[in-house]
This record gives sequence, structure tokens and C-alpha cells, in this order.
Amino acid sequence: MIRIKIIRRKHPSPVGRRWPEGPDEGRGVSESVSQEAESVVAPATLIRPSARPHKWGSPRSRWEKDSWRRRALIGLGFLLALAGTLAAQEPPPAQPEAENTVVVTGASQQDFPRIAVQFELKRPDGSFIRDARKDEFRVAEDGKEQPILEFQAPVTSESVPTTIVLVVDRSLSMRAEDRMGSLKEAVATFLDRAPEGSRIAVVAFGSDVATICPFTTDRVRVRAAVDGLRPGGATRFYDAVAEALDMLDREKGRRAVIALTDGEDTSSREANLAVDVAEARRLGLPIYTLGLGTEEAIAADDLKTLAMTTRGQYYPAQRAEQLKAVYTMIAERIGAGYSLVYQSDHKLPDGTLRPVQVFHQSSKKAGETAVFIPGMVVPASGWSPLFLALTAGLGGLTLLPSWLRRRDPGPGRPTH
Amino acid sequence: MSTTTTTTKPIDPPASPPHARRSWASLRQAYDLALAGALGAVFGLYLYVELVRADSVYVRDALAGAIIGGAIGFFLNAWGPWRDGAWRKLARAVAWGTPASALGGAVGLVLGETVIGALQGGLLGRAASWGVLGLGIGLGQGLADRSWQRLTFGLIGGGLGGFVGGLCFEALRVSLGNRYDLSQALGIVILGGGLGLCLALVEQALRRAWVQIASGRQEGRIYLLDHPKCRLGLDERAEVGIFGDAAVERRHAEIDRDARGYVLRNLAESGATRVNGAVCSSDRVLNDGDRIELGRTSLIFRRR
Repeated sequence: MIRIKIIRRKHPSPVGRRWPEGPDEGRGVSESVSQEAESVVAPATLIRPSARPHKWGSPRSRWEKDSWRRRALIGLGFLLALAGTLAAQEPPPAQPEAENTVVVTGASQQDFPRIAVQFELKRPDGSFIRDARKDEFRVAEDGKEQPILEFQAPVTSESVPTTIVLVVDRSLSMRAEDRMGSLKEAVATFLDRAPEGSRIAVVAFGSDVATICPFTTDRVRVRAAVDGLRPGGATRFYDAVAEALDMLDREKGRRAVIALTDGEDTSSREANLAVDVAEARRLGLPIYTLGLGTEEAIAADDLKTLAMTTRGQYYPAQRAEQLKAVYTMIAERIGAGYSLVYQSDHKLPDGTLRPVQVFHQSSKKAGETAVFIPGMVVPASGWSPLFLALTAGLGGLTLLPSWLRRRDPGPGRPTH
Repeated sequence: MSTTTTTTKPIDPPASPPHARRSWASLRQAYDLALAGALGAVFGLYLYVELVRADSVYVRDALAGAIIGGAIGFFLNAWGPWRDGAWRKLARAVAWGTPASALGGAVGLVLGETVIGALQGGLLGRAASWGVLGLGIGLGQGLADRSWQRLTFGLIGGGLGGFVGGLCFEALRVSLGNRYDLSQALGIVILGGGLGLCLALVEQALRRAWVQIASGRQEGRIYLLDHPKCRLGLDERAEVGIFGDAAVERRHAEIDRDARGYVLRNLAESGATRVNGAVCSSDRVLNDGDRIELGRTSLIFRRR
């Protein structure tokens, strides 16, 4: 990070200096960003050959291979470090700085004109970067940069408010091949790996839907609640997911639902797939779905849809032993999420789809999404002169026929 | 503006005067209703943007729909009685038409919001959602008139007007660089105007029997004979209210629809009711084009 600052000082481009001040004056951001990227990266290649980005048309060389090997090693080391201390402050990774990708996982306009965006920063090898800082990101709406008001990185000195609801299946079929036992173990692992300070609740479903553990940061309590589960009853999966979404409605910050089932929904009364998708999209949070068992036994397509449409992910687990690995993956994934809030400078709710781009300085390509701001009739006030002119014009038009006929009595007037 | 020229230009004095008079009256009616709808829409939009402050999208939408729909309904219903100067009639027409249109508008706008949400905005999204708003207001109008015909045509007029208005709004908004004032005002004018125009055109296309006033203050006004018994006179409750003529009595005559067709019956004690110049003291079956005279006011009976 310091390196970047030095470079900036060496190459003070007007764009570079302008960045931190906030929104630009109507200049297209994509253009500014590419300039920024060039101005940062070009000298970097001089300083450290291995950092040369191959995407930008520079000739490949043996540095390239070197860089890949080094990158892989670094990535491995980084992963190992991660496994140990998920939430601890990590040293800045010395990875090559190009080709990272920003993946936007969610955006919501609940607090419009404040817009929240959730995203991940991935290395080319698919591992997550967790310690990027606020000033390394830019956010643009409609191609225009907006100031970032709030920023949360996975790894920060302050704890990130994370709220997770675990939706777990306690239907009768969970008795098979000790699925319940594996689930309990997997949840225990998940609790160890979940981001520090996470508030976790558990909703269990069978023939009924019950919040067996309300939101708490006390992991022992969550674990005790899950350990107390006994299989029995039908499968009310969608009702349980709806309950989880309802609980998260009142929560702020990073939110997620992790929903496990080992069979098709058989007896939901209030909700269904469409209801859950609509609600999750309204809240702008991902649902991670886990299907335990064979493809035939579970409604894999529906679970996939539920995850995909909410920007979560679907994890199939053929055997109960795989649950532990899946829960660990999800914990890591949630732990890798960034979120930021920016204020749109286009404050009228006007029924438009606004493209949102999140840029990281290490990557030329932005993570992209779009938020739809409802408002088919725009509450745009301040057109009194136009209103008066229109009213006068229309009023004049209503009088026009009478006036014309008074001047020139046509055949409409009886000729007596 | 173009409407004005079409209303006046085709009038060619030496040519067939009754036909010209008829088409002039119809054009005038369509023109006036279009303007009334447009005025209502502009007033409604202005009231909404200046008065409503709500955070919730749907509360805002419901209020916006109610205000815009109510204003359009008010103007469309008030226009006829207002031209006649029949204030009590105006109050009654408005008391039915305004709430019905307001309700229709509120429902239409909330539904339209889900439509534009589903289509994620854009030209089509805006046009479709405004079309839904127009449908809602047209539905309200039709319900207020308690007539299936008016309902159908309110729906067509509102839907079409809303669609074109929304299209115009979105296209102008984009081309003017996110300016909402002119674009939205013009869009809403087209919505209201389209609704009014279509309601008038529909009425003209589908009317079975009507009278057109040929002289006096209400000259050019058209009244549908859409009830089995239509009263003619100074009464505010009369289907054909004739005002500003001292020689017209409160219950001057009535037109009944029965097996023989449309029958004019004189009720005036003065007996001053004439058909084609001949005094009509009791009953008389009317033919298309008959000239009815009540006091000093003459009316043309028309039927198809």
C-alpha cells in the first residue's frame, strides 16, 4: 500500500490526486480509472518485474512464468495463513497486483439515496483478498464516481457486523446415515470459522418452523441449540427460509442465510420458491443453499435457483461427511465479503436501472451490478413556472374554439 | 394546436350545414375532454410533487396515483356541467367521478410500480407502467359512469394514453439528460389528454341516440339518451339540462325509449314544445335529424 503512495508521488497525475476528494465533476469514471491504473502500474513494472500484468498487451517473458509460480506459492501460503487466523489482522499480501477481480455479490437500495454494495476481491487463483482498504476502491454509478460513505472489509481493526441465519433440516430423513451427527459437527466447524463477532441464529424446520436459537454472538449457545436437535417430521424448507429472511429484515451490515435441506419441500404453508427469492432480493442478501443427498432426493434445481437468483451459491453434498467442508467454504466466503455504502448524487427515485461499478486499484476491470430505483412517477418538484405555463397554455386552448367562433361565426352557428 | 385547426378548418359554410355542425360539435367535445384530461393530469402531478413527502415507495405511489387519478377524474367529470353552468350537477358528477378515478389511479400506480420493477425500467418499462396507471384511471372512470361501454373505452383510452405518455416521458428524460420537469409534465399531459380524447371518441363511436343543442349558451353540447327515460328541462337532475333559457320549464319534456323507438313527450304547461316547427302537445316519435324546440332553445335529435 505504501508502494502505491510512493508511486503516486512520483507520478502525480491530476486524476490520481483527484480521487480521494470525492465525486468528480461530470467526468466519466471508466476513463479516469484506466488512466489511474496505467499511472500506477506502469512504474510498478519498472520497480518489480514480476508484477508485470500480461493482460495489458505487454510481451510475455520468462518473468511471466516466474510470476505465476511465485503467485501460486504466495497464494498457498496465504491460504494457510487464512486457515489459522481468519479474522486476525494479516500482513499485506505481496501478491502481484494485476488481474484481481472484483465480484459484486449484492446491492441494495433500501436506504436510497444511500446504496449498499457487497463484493469480494479475488485473486486470479480464486483465493480471496481480505485486507484491501477503503481508499483502494472506487465506486461509480452510471459511470460517475460517488464518494464512499461506509466501508467494511473482511479484515479490519473494528469488528464487522455480520448476521447469519443457519436454516437446518431436522426432518425425519436426517436420521439416515447419521446426517444429524454430521450436521452438528459441520455447524461446530462453521462456528469456529465464521467471522469474528458474527451474530448467528438458527432456524430448524421439520413439520414446524422454530427459531431454536435467537441472534447471539455466543457460539457455545448456538452449538448447544443445534446439538439438541432430534430428527422427526416433514420438510417445510421454504417457510423456514422465509422466517430467516424475516429475522434478517431488521439487521444491518453483512447478512446471509445458509439453508440446508436433505429433501424436497413437502409442507410449506406460507412461502414458496418465488416468495423467498423475491424477499431475499428485496433485502439484497445472499442465500447459500446446501443440498444433502442424491440429486433425485433433493430439489437441486430449486436450490440452485434460490442461490443463484440471490447471488449466493448452491453446494451439493452427496454424503454427510462433506458437510463440514461445505460449511467451512461458506464461512470463508462470508468472511471474504466487503461492503460499502455510497450516496447516489442522483437523489430522485426515478424508476431507472443504474449500473454500479466497483473498481479496485489492482484491477482494470470493475465488478459490475445494477440497482433498480423504483419510482415510475418521479417526485421531482420545482417546476412551478413550467406548471403555470402549461396550465395557462391548456387553459388558453380551452377558450380558443369559443374565441375563434366569436370572431368568425361558421356554420356551427345556426343561421337565423 | 393541431386539434384546434381541425376543429375549425373543415367547417365550410356553404357546404352541408347540418353535417358540419354535427362534426364540429363532436370534434369540440373530443377537444374539450382531451384538454380537461390534460389539465387534470398536470394539476394532479403538480399537487403530488409539491405536497407528498413519504419515504415508503408504495405509500408515495398510492398517494400519487390517488392525486393524479382524482384530478383527472375531477376535470373530466366537471367539464360538461361546468360548461353548462350547472353547479349542482357538477358537484354530483364530481362526487362520483373523483373518488372512483382516485382509487383507480392509486391501484394503477402501485401495480405500475411493480411492472416497471419487473421490467427494470427502460423505455418499455416506463411506457408499460404508465399504461397500467392509465388503465386504472380509465377503469375508475368507467365504474363511476356505471356503464360497460365507458369502462371498455376508458380502459382503451387510459391504457393507450398512459403508454404513449410514458414512452414520451422516458424518451424526453433520456434525451434531455435526466430532466424530469418538461419530460414528465409532457408525459402526464399526454396521459390525461389521451384518456379524455379516447373517452370522447369512444362515446361518439358507440352512442345510439343523443341530442345536440343547436342554439343558446350550451350550443354544440351533446347529451346521450342512455336511460330509458331522459328528462329535458331546467332541472339540475335532468339528463338533458337546459340552462339559461327563461322559457324552458323545470320539467319541460322527456324522451322515452319504448317499442316505437324514441318518443318525445311534452310536459310543459305552456305547451311550448315543437318538433320540426309543429307544436307537440302530447307524444311524438322522433326521427333522426328532427329539430326539437323547447322555449327558445333548439335541439337536434340524432340516432343510429
